Amino acid sequence: MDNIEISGTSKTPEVKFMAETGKLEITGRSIPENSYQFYEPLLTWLDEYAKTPQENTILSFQLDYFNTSSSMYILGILKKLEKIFLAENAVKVRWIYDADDEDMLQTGEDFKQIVKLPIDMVEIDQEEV
Amino acid sequence: MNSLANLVDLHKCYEVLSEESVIFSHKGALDGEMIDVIIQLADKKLVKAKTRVRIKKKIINILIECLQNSFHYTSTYEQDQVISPTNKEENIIKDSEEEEENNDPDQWKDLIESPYVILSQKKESYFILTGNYITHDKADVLKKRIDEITAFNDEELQKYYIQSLDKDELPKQGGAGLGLIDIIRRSKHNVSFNFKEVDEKYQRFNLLIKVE
Repeated sequence: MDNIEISGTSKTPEVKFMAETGKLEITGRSIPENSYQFYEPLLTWLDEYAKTPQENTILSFQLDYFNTSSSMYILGILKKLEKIFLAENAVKVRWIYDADDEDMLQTGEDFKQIVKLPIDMVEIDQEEV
Repeated sequence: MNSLANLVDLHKCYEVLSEESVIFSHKGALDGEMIDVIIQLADKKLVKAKTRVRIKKKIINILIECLQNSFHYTSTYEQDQVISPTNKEENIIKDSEEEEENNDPDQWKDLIESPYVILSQKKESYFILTGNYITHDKADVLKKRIDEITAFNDEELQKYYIQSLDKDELPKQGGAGLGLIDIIRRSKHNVSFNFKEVDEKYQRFNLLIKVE
């Protein structure tokens, strides 16, 4: 299957979904007015990937800002991975957040409450841009 | 009809904020590009003012929610305004009186132009004052909802947030009402709001959020 590689914009994150390595990355800012338009193709891709996932799937999120409609779709992505995980495949999520961003940490913790997935909280010390 | 009453009220807002320094303000219709520009401007000004990163992130996140809430709310009326006469026939729920109103292309103009946002600072505290016109029936629904959310303690709010986030059906537009909960959570319950009657059609919804 094809990979997904999307460059980041001021409103949407950079996305790298690599089917042959199982490495998935969402990086940057996710504040589109229409989250459905942006995230629906990613959810569809994950449905396809879930049929024959890699032995190890690692998804890394590193977001500086996101809006609430994105957070619902991010949860949607995590739920797709949860299905892969519950089908006894190795899945790991890295939730990377800035040490100064307590709300981003809280959101990661919220997702951990909802989905049955190993989510590592990874704190980084980012220089102010 | 719009201008004078509105300006007087805006002056009142400025008066309230007169002891503080206004970082930026915007009044008028919003679209995606404008929201982008406002966010970038706020970000740059907060960086320049050497605002702590933790506070800056909270402010920007809250601004995004406020602006997009206004955008999604008013854009439903904007779409209504551009419905062509043929499409209108499909809209069978509207009665004849409303149908007549729909013939006025400017009928929602005041509402579409009504969103405003003011970001100001007083010592270590930041204030976001925002609002828009809302029709009377929708104002009642919104008031009830905010009363409900603001009455929650931290634990109840957290539970309600998780319930609202964890929906099987994903929203095709907007954040399905999560925005307000998010604003209250991020500001640690530092919000106040009111509704002010404008005319027979509208009230103005004002929301003040404090970040510190």
